[in-house]
Amino acid sequence: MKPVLWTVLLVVGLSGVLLVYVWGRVDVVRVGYELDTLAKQKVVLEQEHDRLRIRLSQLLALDRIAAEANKKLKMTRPGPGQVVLVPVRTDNGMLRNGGARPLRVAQHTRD
Amino acid sequence: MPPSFMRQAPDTHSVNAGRRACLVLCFLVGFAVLLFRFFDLQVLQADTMTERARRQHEKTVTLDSSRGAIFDRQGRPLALNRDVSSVYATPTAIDRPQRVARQLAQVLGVPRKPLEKRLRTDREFVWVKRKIPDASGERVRGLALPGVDTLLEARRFYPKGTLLAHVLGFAGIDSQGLEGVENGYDKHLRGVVRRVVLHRDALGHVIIPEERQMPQGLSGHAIHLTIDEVIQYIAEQALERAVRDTRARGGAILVMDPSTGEILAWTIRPTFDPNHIQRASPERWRNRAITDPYEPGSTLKVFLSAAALALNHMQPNTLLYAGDGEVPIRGTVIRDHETAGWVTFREAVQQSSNVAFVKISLALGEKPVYRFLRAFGFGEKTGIDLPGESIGILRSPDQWSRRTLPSLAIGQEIAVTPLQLTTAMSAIANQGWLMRPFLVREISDYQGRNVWRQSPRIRRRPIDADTAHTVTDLLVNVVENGTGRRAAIPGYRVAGKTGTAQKVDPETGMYSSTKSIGSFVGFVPAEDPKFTVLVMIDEPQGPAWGGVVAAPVFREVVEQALRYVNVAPSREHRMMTASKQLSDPDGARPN
Repeated sequence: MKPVLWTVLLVVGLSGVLLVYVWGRVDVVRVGYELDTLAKQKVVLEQEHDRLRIRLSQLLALDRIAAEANKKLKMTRPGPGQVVLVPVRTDNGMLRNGGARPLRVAQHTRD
Repeated sequence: MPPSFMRQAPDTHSVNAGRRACLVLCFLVGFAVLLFRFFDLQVLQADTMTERARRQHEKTVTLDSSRGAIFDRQGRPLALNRDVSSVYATPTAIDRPQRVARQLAQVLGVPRKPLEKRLRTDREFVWVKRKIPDASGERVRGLALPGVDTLLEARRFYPKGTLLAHVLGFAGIDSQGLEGVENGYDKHLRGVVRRVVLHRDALGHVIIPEERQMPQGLSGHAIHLTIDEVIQYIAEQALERAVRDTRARGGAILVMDPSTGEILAWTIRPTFDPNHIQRASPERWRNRAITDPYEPGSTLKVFLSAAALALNHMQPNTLLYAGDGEVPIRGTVIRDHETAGWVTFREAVQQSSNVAFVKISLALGEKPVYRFLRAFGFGEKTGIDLPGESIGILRSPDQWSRRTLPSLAIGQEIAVTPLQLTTAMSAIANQGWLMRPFLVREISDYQGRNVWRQSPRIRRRPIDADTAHTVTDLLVNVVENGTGRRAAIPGYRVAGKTGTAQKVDPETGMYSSTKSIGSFVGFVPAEDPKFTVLVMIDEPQGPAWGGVVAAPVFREVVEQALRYVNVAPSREHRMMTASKQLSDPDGARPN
């Protein structure tokens, strides 16, 4: 009985090893298919991203915004005297009057 | 019965042995055949079979790279890519080329007959039309014509249209850079096309990619320009208005950071839309700010003044006799607009006196004048990172006639590009340091990692800081009291010089009395310059004086640009504004 038992065990063992090996290979192939599907989705999404990026950039073009502001919001360029520069308050509440320091620009509009 | 005729019982053992031998022989022959076939396939035809198996299981894919994007200095996109459809045909699979050609011609707007001719060839692949609009692609696919299909190709888009067109240039149908930065930096922008091998099953599906990672084409590098889109827009709008109002042939505005040589804006009229390059002539593509030199006229006096001061020939208060407004030179007469009489050097610059500068140039001599003009970069390339730059025209003194030196005094017999003039003026603003102008400040890879950064580069120092300060004072005086008054901006010290140059009539070879170029070049604030700006208006109709047609444009650009970069006016101006508000109750008040 002993040799038969050993043979059976050997066959079962070998079969197990082969099964694990084949299972691994099949799983790799399955993941490969998934990767391929995802890659195709990625390409589609990237195309959409590129399209939207260009559209956004077109919408943010300054000449378009200026035209829209002028037509829809009736905004115009400030005339002489309408733009005044005011000193900036620093963190400690002091006024800054330095020559090249940043300023806030305030707009005064007339009715 | 003789024994030989006796029927004997067969020897079953020998019969079986014979059969076995026969069977074994058959098997052996069979195995030999199999073995031979095995040897044939595995050894003799090994290469062929390997190749056939590879073709069945592997798929070679070409991964196109994406051309790198171009951004302004704030990261705003100026050139991008997008996949669009291209239509191709397999003529051998088309049964009725005439019908197919007619349908495609209707949808795509291509000439029918040449298309039909291409469809009648026995080739496996011909382009029908490349990079078509999405709607056209959908219509072609909707036709479901046999032997006609579409594939995706990357197309270059310039979302801001004509903005910065001459600097950006454009890319061709195969995404190769043809003009401007697209051409000059093509090797960086163009990615790497890769071919990879993928394994596939019997249905052609990809089983597993090479190296267990989905490979990608190597995208080109992104380029970040020194250009600021807002300042560029300001300059474009101002130039558009100026050219329209003066009915000029064209014009240019360049804005530079004088301390680094960074170009902040670069606009030329007439212009073109790089998205529709076929609609514009090559004449419009040309970047005339570097390719077309012109006679600078009185703007050249800035550099002659610097030479006179540097060589101690002149001081601001040195008295000069400008005579009765004209000086005869070798058969011709150089005149002033107004009679100057005795003037100081400061007043000569302020009034842009031709007579005074002729005398100054003659006193300086040929070689010093030439040496200083060369030192300021005239007659050589600035080294800007754009293709096609001209060196201008500045002949060496041994080629000069006796009229050349006085002509140079008024900016004739020399031709400079707008960029050369802007760069030279920046040297005055930058305490005498002449910088190399540049347009690309950074290159990054497709993941945003910096791969290269441009640093400001000094070319040389034509004058020292003291001379530069003195020239600056003279130029501030030009704007406050002289020909450049229309460039003055309340609250800021503006330094600049006007120029009006007659153009040479190509038919007569003489200076035209009607065609001229009005220009203004200056920098601001004079005490700590942030911008050097050149405005050039080509062939304006009506008055063509630089102080009339170009100086107001300079003011318009600089006023907005200073506000945009938060450069405050001088303290005195704020005090003046405050007192004005106190005395003028209707005036503007802070909110």
